[in-house]
Amino acid sequence: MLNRFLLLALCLLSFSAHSELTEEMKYGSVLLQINVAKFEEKQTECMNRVRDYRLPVEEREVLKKLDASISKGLYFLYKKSFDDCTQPELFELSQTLLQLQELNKKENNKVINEQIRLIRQLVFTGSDISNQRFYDSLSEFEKDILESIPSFKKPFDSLQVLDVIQSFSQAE
Amino acid sequence: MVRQCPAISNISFDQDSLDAIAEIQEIHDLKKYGRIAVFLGHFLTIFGGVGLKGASGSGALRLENKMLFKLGASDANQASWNLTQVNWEYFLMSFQGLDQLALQQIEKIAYRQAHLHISKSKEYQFWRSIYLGCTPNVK
Repeated sequence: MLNRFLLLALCLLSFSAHSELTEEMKYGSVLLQINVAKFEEKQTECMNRVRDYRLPVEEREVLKKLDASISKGLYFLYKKSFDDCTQPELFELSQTLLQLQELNKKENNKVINEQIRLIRQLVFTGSDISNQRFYDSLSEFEKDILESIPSFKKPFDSLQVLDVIQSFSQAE
Repeated sequence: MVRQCPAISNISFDQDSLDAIAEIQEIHDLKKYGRIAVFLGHFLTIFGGVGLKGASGSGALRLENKMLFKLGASDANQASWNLTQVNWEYFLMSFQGLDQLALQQIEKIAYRQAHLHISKSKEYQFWRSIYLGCTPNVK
């Protein structure tokens, strides 16, 4: 945990970096920090739900028809359920980030740029487009099975699911 | 209980893994070299600038009072924003939350990589271990 006094000392040291910002940008920047904290809180809750997930016994049988090659497509379903879980905080964070980025186009304030870069780096990972591509490349048969599983609609541990699928193939 | 990291011999990484390792390295460096702290310093300077201008001697305390803990209606700089107390609490939390977000991000990267490498047992084992967390077996 960052020591508050260290932060305050850094404030004083970095006083030269101070530049005037419009009230709208200051407000946007504070809102972004607020939305980051709300998102972090929600993400922690969703991650805990993934850790607590247990694949229901009645859903295991249907997975016998699949093999581990669906892993990338399965990740798309996991990511979708996880992103759904982090709503509306994820949407609000993304919206504030994009709007602040737009506002800062003209001002090009270094601190705001750094704030945006840092938050993008700490929140967004991988490409949802490639995840979608992997999922779309699954056969209709595979997609029908995956979409029929109720527990995949909420945050679930797709690695645990893959373990089950692999255990079936090894048992054969 | 923290797991012990598995011994994985002769592992080679594909480009996806190498890119993910570089991404994790960058996040690790954010923490290690205090880039998060430096950013927060600049950030608070901008927002605390007004409070600092008249400060003498106890500038840090004054900034702390002005910026972080006295954001009520009596503060002319902030009154027009009309943020709720709850939101200011989130604002304060966000400074500690960045470190936590960094750890979560590493976990998310490892989780994704495990799915991408299911057919490559060593890389899969490597990424899965990072996701689950393990402690190195160093004697």
